[in-house]
Amino acid sequence: MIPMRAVNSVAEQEACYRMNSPLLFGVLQALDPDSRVELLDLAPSNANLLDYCSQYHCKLHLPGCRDELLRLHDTEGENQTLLSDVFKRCIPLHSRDPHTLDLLLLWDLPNYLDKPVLSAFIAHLMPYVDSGTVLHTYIHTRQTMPEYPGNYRLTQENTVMVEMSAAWNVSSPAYYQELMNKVFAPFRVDRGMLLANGMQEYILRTK
Amino acid sequence: MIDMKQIKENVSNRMKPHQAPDMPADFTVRESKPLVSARESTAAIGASIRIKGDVSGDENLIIQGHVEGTIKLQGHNVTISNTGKVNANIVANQIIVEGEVQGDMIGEEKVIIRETGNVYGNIVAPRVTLEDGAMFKGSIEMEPHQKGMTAPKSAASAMSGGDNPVRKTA
Repeated sequence: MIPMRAVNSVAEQEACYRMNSPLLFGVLQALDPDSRVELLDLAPSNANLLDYCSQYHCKLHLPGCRDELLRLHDTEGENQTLLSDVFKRCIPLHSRDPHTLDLLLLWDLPNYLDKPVLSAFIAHLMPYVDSGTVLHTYIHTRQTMPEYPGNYRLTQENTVMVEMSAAWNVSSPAYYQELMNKVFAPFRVDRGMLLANGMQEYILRTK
Repeated sequence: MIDMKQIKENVSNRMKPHQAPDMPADFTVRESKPLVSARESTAAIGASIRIKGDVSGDENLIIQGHVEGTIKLQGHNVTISNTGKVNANIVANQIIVEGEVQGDMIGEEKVIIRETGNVYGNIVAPRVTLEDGAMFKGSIEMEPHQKGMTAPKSAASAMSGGDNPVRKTA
């Protein structure tokens, strides 16, 4: 299912733990409560994000398509048209305003997508992105990572509760900054911070 | 257009205890589960009922069956119970989803999706509650500063076919 080579190592990380995520909360706290903001979260919908965002005048796009995206494979970049059709169906951003998204929450999903799939996803979003759009993601920096993406929940203490269900580790794509700039183009890394669990937290912007 | 008042009147008449001609005077036939409780002013669409069309009215509504079309109960509450399946846009004061909804919802006060709820569609409401285990795919627009709001322009647009663009206000 997931285009990663399994390695013979049992996941050592705790199944559920709390972590700081300074860049994410920096972005969230910088949102203007008097302005209307639009967020996209591909993960299965959860109450915590909704609760957190209830203080804002906001529109949350929650297509809940993470697992469907994980089933997409295009290691050689040969199926871009097909991918485009899938994204149109999975992530129907109906707004007719061409630049609407303020924050894209990808969590750790990019680690699990083929690079051409990730690029096609970014291309699908481009009509809804402007220079103020922020993309947030966690990238695994160690050689291995859990075989499935985690679930991430915002807590009231401004930390993130991480829930991992994977029993095994797989090799990680080990994105370095220049490769990220290429795969996420036209987004470029704006800020990065190494977290205690070995993941690198990134903020990317288009400018 | 299906008028809930008419449904209530019809059902109330049907529910009045009636006397069979060859029965003793004190014998009455009773419904075990009344469809309508006039005291609570809540109507119910039973589990075996299927409605295709527009539902409107001036009382609360519990949907246990299937509804396809539109549901407009402004100022009143709509509950889609565990067995309820709705393929319709809904406008109501408070919308509680315990069953399945495919369509857009505008809650004047709030929308609650219970843990058994399954929603595909877009929601506009000042407050939206998603219980753990609830399944939701779509978009949620919250406007916490507008108490007692009427349907926002974007939602009204969505309900009428989406001709107007959703624009940032700032």
